[in-house]
This record gives sequence, structure tokens and C-alpha cells, in this order.
Amino acid sequence: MIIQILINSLINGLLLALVALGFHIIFSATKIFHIAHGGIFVAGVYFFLWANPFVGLAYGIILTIVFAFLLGVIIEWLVYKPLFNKSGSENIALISSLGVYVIIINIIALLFGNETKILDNSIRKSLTLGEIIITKPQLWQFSFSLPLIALFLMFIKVTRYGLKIRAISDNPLLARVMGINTQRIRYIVFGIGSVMSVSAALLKGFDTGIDPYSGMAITLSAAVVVIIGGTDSLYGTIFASIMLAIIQNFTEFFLSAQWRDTVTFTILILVMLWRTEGILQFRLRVDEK
Amino acid sequence: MNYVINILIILQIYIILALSLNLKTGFTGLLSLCQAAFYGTGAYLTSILMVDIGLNFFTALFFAIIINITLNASITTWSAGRLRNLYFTLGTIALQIVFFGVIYNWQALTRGPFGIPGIPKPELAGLIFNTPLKFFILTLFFTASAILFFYWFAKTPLCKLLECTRDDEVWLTVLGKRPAYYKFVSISITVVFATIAGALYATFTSYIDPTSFTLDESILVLTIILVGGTGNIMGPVSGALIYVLLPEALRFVNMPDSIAANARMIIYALILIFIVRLKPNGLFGKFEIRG
Repeated sequence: MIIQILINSLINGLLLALVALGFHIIFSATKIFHIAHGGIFVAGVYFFLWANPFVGLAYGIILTIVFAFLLGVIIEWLVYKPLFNKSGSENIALISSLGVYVIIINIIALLFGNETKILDNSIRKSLTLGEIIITKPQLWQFSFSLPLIALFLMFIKVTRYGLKIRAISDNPLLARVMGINTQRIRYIVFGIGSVMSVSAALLKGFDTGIDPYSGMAITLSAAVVVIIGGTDSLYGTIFASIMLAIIQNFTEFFLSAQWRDTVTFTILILVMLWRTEGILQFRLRVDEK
Repeated sequence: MNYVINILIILQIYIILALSLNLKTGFTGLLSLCQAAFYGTGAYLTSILMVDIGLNFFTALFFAIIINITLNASITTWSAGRLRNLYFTLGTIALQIVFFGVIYNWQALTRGPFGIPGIPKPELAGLIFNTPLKFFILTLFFTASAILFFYWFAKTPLCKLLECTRDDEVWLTVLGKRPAYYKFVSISITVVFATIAGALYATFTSYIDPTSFTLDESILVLTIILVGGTGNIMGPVSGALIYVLLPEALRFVNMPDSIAANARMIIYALILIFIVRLKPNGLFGKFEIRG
């Protein structure tokens, strides 16, 4: 039973890591606490639901990815860019982000209704290895999220754009002085981050389904993971995602599903008060900037 | 007539909530999303003291305020001492969600998702505030005292020190003052008025359940003061007016019920985004929300 929970947690943790990595690059490159990330998460699945009957599965997924990229870019263009140009504070960006989230969620609820939607209703086969049961959606989730995470890490660590993103995260002003087009990098960061979030949403949508309000919980979990793992360390985020998923699953198994968020945020408060810089990071964050 | 009085009572509860959050966010500069936790703790404590122990409304309110300060104000002050800006805001979100989890799950005390029914109406020296009109007079008393209090408080030297905490904490330390103390004062006063609002809400509706005190509620109260403007009295009051009267106005446009709630949220969010973009200090605000 314990092994079963651990395997489920690993798969949930990888999905959470996808969302959290997207949140992470947006947060580290632009210092925006992007709550609308959860809105994009949900919007992607609903776009797929709408597009799927017209174009089929494969094109549906490709179109959804393009849609996610564009949605991220559009939010940056319409909402954050003007604030950035007026050099608004982090808190103003947070509030605008809340506004964007509320708008996206309510537009979706207006168009599609408030009930849970599942992308795939068919009876699903599962794989049995001794006592352990792995369902088919879980297999997909595992085999898609691992390469996606690897690709993302390669993009950040190896390519030239990744280098520019890291430069902006480190010092935006200096990066600008060195001739990097900061605005274009910000667009790319928002696009890539949204794509990561939506791919996790699609993988989740095939398994447990999604409703318009499920975005907030996962964004907050992602934010918790980014803070716990340390805002400078991508590996910390992945590690913390899997740890958090393990803790959440054990809470659900031994206590009840309702305690999950409470436990998550208690951990966040404890980590913030005890190791303000995150568990895998070694710099003081309190008076950063 | 009762319809108008009910709206006015709800309006006054939101005015008290917005004024109290205004002290913390507008004057002291602690942008926080846990107002619904303060408000909910107040509502739950008053209801539990009244229903389970059988205290009078005013006694219950008194004890609720004291317990609420020891619980919430101390935790919030502690995290305000350790965390800055965005991280403090995140800490308040965490507090809000932990609070919701606790009232939802601690069924022995709060009856969880079933809520607390049958909360008695307030009673003072034989006079029971059981009709809407009488209750309206009670809320009017509290709202008027809140407005007068904050009007007076904004002129005291203590309030200038709170503003100094917001503007330059290091400078305050240089003057030999302790920022943590002023943050505690500010948060405690916020908690006191949030508790009053919660107690009024609980006795007005005579039934409370956890869904009235979610993160969304905190976001709404923050929206109210950001739209109205922070740092003075006019801002929160006008924000609450817009927030409470707008849905009633939409009711007369004959919008179908199925889309009214969502359309309302979209309108609020659009107002919020435009206010933040075009007039960062709100309609009547003196100060910008800053980082």
C-alpha cells in the first residue's frame, strides 16, 4: 500500500513540477506572482474540449499548446507590460494577476458551466504489477511529464534563450545594458511558462477531469513548491514538488482529503519562517532587492 | 422596505471590514489577503460563545475580540516581522487557507460544512434586535463608531508612526521605535473591527458556514479598498458602496440569474485591473499600494 501511494505521489509530483516550473521561470524572470497561471491551466483544457471535436486529438493538442503560448503572451502584453513600463511594484502586479485570474475563470464558467469536465470517459485499462495498480492515464502522465521536464531543463540550461532568461532573472537592468531585448524574453517566458502549465492540465484532464475553479489550488501549490524549493533553484522546485505530493497523498490517505490544503500551507508557513531562503538555497531572501 | 434595509446592513458590514483592512493595508502598508480569516474567526467565535455557552451578544463579542487578537494578530505580527512584501502577502494567503481548513475540518467545534444554525439575535437590556429595522440601528451604531474612530485615529501621533512603518521602516528603527510593536497595534485594531463585522454578520444571518469565509472573500475586501482607495476614510466607504450596490443595480437590468454571478465577478475584476493601471491610488486614495 505504501509503495502504491509513493508511486501515485511520484506521478502527481511530476505533474505539479510541470506547473511549478512554469510558475518558477515567470516568477524568477519577471518577479510577478502569476496567479493567472491557474486560469491558463484551466483555460487550456477547456480550449481542448472545444477544439477536439473539430480537429481530432493530435491537432487538438498542438492547437492547445499554441493557444496556451498565445494566452500567456497576450496577458503579458495587455496587463503586465504597461505596469512594468510604469515600474509598478510587485504587489500591483499580484493584484492585477488576481484580476486576470477572476476574469478567465468566470468567462470559462459562463461559456461551459461550473461542473467538472472529463476529457476521456471511456473505461480505462490498468496495469497490475503484483499489488501495485497503475492506470493508463497515469502511465501517460509519467511518460509525457518526464521528457517535458527534461526538455524544459535543457531549454533553460543549454540554449541561448535559456541563458538570456537566467540573465534576466539575475539582474534585469544589467541584462538590458548588455543588449538583451528584455521585453521579448518576457514574452517568451510567459509563453513557455503557460505551455508547461497547460500540458500538465491536459495530462490531468485525461485522468481526473477539471472544473473552472481547480486552477487556484494548483497554482497555490505550485507557488508553495517554488518558495519551498528556493526561487533560484529549478532542481529544488522539482524536488519540492515530489516531496509535497508525497506529503499531500499521505495526508489524504491517513487523515482526509479536506486537510490537504491546510497541511500544504502549514508547511509553507513553517518553511518561510524557519528557512526563509528555501530548503535548497543558501541566501537570505527577507531583504532581497 | 426590508429589502433596502437588508442591503444597507450588508453594506455597513462591508464598510466596517473595509475600514479595518484599510488601517492595515493603507496606513501600515501590509498588503494582506487574510481579512476573511479575521472576519470568519470573529463570526465563529461569537456564534460558538452564544450558541454553545449561551453568552449575551456583547459579552460574546468582547471575548471573541480578545481570543481573536491572541490567535490571529499574534501570528500575523510574527510573520510580518519575518517576511516582507510579496512573501508577507503569501503568508497571509497561507493563513487564510489554513483557517478555512481548520473551520471546515474541526467538526467538534465548528460543525464543519454543516455550519452553525440558530444563532440568536443580539439583546441589550431587554431590547432584542430581531427586526431588520432594529438590527439596522445596531449596525448603524457600530458603523458610525468605526467611522468616527478611524477619523479620530488618523489624526493621532500613533497613526503617523504607523504610516512611518509603511514608508520607511529603517528610519523608524533609527528613531528608536520598534516597527514590530506598531505592526502589532495596527493588526490588532484591524482584528477588533473585523471581529465586530463578523459578529454582526453571524447574528444578522443567524446561520454561518465555512463557505462565507474563503480566500475569495478576502480578495473581495481587498478589491473594495483598492478600488475606493487606501489611506483615508472616503476610499473604503466608497469602495464598499460600489461593491454592494453594483449587483443590486445589475438586478434591475434583468440579467438572468445563471450568468449574473459570473458577470458580476468579471465586472469587478475589470474595474480592479483598470483602477490599478490608470489610477493606482484608487478613486479617493491618498497613497499608492507599494511593494
